[in-house]
Amino acid sequence: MRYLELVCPAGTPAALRAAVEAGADTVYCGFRDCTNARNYPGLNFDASELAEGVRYAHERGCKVLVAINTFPPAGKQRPWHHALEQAAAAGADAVILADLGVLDYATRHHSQLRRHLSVQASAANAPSIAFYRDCFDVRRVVLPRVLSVTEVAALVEETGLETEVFAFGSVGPMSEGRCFLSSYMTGLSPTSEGACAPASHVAYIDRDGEILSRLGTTTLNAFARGEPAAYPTPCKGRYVTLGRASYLFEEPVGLNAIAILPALKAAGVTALKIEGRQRSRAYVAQVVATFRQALDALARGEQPPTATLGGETEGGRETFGAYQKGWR
Amino acid sequence: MSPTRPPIALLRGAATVLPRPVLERITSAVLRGLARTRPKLLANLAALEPAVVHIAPTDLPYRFALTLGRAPVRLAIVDRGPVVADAEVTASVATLVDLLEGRIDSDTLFFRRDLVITGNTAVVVGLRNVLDREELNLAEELGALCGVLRRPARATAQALDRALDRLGARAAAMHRTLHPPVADERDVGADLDRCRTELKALTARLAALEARQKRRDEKSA
Repeated sequence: MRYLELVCPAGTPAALRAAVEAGADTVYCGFRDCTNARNYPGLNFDASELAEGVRYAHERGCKVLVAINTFPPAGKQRPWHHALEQAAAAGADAVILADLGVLDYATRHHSQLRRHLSVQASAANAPSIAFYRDCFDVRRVVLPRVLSVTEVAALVEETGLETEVFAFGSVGPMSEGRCFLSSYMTGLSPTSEGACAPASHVAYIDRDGEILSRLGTTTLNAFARGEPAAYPTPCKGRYVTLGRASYLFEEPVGLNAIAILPALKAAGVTALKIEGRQRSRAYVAQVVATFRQALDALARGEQPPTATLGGETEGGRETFGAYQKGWR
Repeated sequence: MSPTRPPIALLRGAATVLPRPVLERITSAVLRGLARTRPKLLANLAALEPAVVHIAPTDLPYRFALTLGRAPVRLAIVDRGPVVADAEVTASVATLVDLLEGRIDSDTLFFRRDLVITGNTAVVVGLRNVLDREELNLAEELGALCGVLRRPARATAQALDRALDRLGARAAAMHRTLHPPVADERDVGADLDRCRTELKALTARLAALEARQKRRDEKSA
């Protein structure tokens, strides 16, 4: 029996194959448009690539989920409806949705297509999750990265739904799906146009060996020579307050829950999500293989091998994030 | 994943010593080969935002200028100097080849500062994503230029690469013998402390001098 389902990212067909080969149970991906919260240039799937990816994964016993997890602006729902039709036609195992209107449309027009609630919906309490479960027959909820293990266990017990939690990737301090910091600096919405800190507004400037990262006209950070760098997102900016530069929101560290997998299992979690559809297939292969080894060892009742993924994480440092945040 | 690693030492050596016209013919031939064998790659590169990206290997005396967002995609060799491109990507030849072949993650390199990106980031992200869709093998693409002699050419290249690696290691050892590293024995922290102490003493002395001058001025008044 599977210890925990390993849900892995794929930004490209090559990354999907890498994830499947490295031992993913499930792969999630999205279309090359505004319906996808990772709408970066050159990334993602068209309809034929998705159909081919689903076929490839199914032949190897792996599932494919399609993230259609942004929020349509008023009067512009068509791309989201079209994405649902394409996901259903490709034979996707489930769609990951966030918007109430899209959930409603999927429930009425694609009732056979399994629905998961995206982290973008930011459902972090039992009544909220129960609402999605009861109204749209949502079968799984992807929990925001703001909950402790104890809180996750309580939600599993209270809602009776499958839960998917982040096991590796970025950490953010904001309530996911409701963060607009990036919008103030770029004029673009990460929730309706599909990218936080869009690359078109990011610039790196070399100042005598020191690298400045900018988003729009705002300088977010300055990295000295040899200092590990961070993503150019507003929540990882280093701001000057009272004459001192510091990380006000979140330090550049990466989430790695590999050491607390037994605790997550005991909490009743169904699936582990590896974040990073915007990362390369080399990242996917390495992180997925490491988690596969750990999960297989735990399933056999053994200690997982001590492997570090520190090099893959933002800032080269790892954290348990909110799972074990002391102040909580 | 790529099955074999290309002969980096040989590539670097050849890219350094071959005359510019020969290198330009090789890069053009590789692009033509890719257009035949991977039309989707070229189409995706041509579909990106129009831009010129400089690929600047830190261990070569020149850089490559890749023109995207139009067909045909062009790859030229340009001199080092002020950047006139929309974006520039800087890393060693080995790192750039690892990136091209999907052996290493660009974000990881960026976090470690082994990869430096300047200019229009969207263009570089698009380029990275388009290349990462392909399972490219540079040795195979270069070998394809040799036609039916591909296999012996690859074997020869691997042998030459190993020889160059050995030669490089021997030269480095010799250099270390002739020029042993000079240990930097300066203690910067102690220097700073000394400067602080001196500054404090000078400030105190200045204050004393000012006070004395003030007393003199008062007396003379």
